[in-house]
Amino acid sequence: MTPSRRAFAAIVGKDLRTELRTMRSLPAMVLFAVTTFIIFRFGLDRTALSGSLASGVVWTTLLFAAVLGINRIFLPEREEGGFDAFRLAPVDRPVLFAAKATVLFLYLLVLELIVVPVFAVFFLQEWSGLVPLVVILAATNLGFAALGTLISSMAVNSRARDLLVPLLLLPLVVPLMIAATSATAPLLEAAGPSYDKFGTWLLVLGLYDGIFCLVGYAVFDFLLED
Amino acid sequence: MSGRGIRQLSIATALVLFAGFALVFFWVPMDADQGFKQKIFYLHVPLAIVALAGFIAGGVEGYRHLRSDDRRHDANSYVFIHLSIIFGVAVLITGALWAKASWGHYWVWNEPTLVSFLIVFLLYCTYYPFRYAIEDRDRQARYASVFAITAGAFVPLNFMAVRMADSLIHPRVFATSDGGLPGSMMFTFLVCLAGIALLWVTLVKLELLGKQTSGQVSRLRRALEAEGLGGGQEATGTVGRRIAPNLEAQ
Amino acid sequence: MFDAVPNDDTGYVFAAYMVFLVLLLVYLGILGAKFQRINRDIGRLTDEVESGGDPGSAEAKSGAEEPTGV
Repeated sequence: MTPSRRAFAAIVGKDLRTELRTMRSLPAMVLFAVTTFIIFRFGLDRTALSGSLASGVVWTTLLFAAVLGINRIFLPEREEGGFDAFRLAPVDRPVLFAAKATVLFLYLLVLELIVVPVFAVFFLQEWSGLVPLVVILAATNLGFAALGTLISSMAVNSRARDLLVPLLLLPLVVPLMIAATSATAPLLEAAGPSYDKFGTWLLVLGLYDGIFCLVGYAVFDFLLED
Repeated sequence: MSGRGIRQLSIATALVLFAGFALVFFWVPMDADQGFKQKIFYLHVPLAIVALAGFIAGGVEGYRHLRSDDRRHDANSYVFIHLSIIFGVAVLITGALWAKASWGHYWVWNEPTLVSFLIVFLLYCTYYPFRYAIEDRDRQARYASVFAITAGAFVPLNFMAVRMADSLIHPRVFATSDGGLPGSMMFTFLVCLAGIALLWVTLVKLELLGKQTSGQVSRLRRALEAEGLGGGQEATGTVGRRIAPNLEAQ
Repeated sequence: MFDAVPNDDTGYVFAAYMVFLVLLLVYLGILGAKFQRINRDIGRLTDEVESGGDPGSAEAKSGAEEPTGV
């Protein structure tokens, strides 16, 4: 195994083990999402959702829960001097970006595995659209992961870091949200899923993911410089 | 960046803009569909194009700053984005006025280019709180360059996504009849575009000159203080000015 | 100028071009104020240097920006 791959595996392993042991981010994200669903039930005065309304509710909730997690992704590095340790190691800097993005992707995956079934139980009458939804979730998670890691690494070293992440992230994820919600809405129709423009939106998601993974990987060197 | 070209640039800008606006109001024929209010198009669209080009140029300068570590590129990036945001305000206001004249509301969600522009504008508005949240000057410049590059990459993606989300049922507010512009309108449009572009360049040069000069004044003051003179002078800067990029460290 | 809400197309076109002009003038005004402040600083520095008898006072003059003629 090359040093890069070893470092990658080490960072991912460390973060996942820490999360399992301390449960710092995930429970909060899940609770936040479920509570938000309850608020939507009362705010919208509806007990069943379908189509674009369902799509909007679930994606908005996932977005804000994701922001909670993104805020915290570099906290261990900042608090325990991990940045310095990483700078000293003979590893390519972008490996940290890839590792953290992978961790964030996995967090989001776990979040969705818990939250989306809850959403289905709360609001959906037709569940067959959930299977193709997994594809959309994965593609959107990748975009979140890349962009979230990039923004978080910049915000973690600044003042007002909790405010900075939502501030910078939200405008940047608008195209991602447009693609995700537009692809999801036909899947959650009460009459059963339709695949209207599914492929097109998936392509947009792929393009977005590709661009921001590349951008993040390319500029991360400069972000770690002291 | 010398201040020498500014005089010629200003004159050229004034002439081209004057010519453009004269064409708009005295020469170009009235649009058959929209009537007199279509004349806002000759102001609104060039402003938008120049603002977006400015944002992307800001990203390019950010990239050059990261490659060369030359502070001048960071200052360029800052000023390009600053001016494009101001032009962006003009875009949104003129767009709102056009929407009100055409549609009865100051804002319309079914005009994808206006919505896309709003999102881009909001993103770049976060540039300043972001910069000022980072205290270390070197790091601030580097992170700002990363932001400029990321945001520059975002602009085309955003326009594409918003355009796709727009259902074809909604008629475009700003569509001209037949989709193509007749020759006289195209010519007028190009003159106005040239004028607005020249204006942007002139203002950029002015602002950069201002930064250069205040940078030199700071250097002078510091040099004098080192020699024991100029000590009674109070700093004319606020915290914000200390943090904003200037062209001192050459 | 803006008390009456424009209620026909001419009003909107006029308002749009006016907004552009006003923004431009405000921006130039702010830049002008900034240049005035710089001039004042340079003047003060020059005075201090000249009263201090510093032989390097020639440098202070070169920092002045050339006037821009718009």
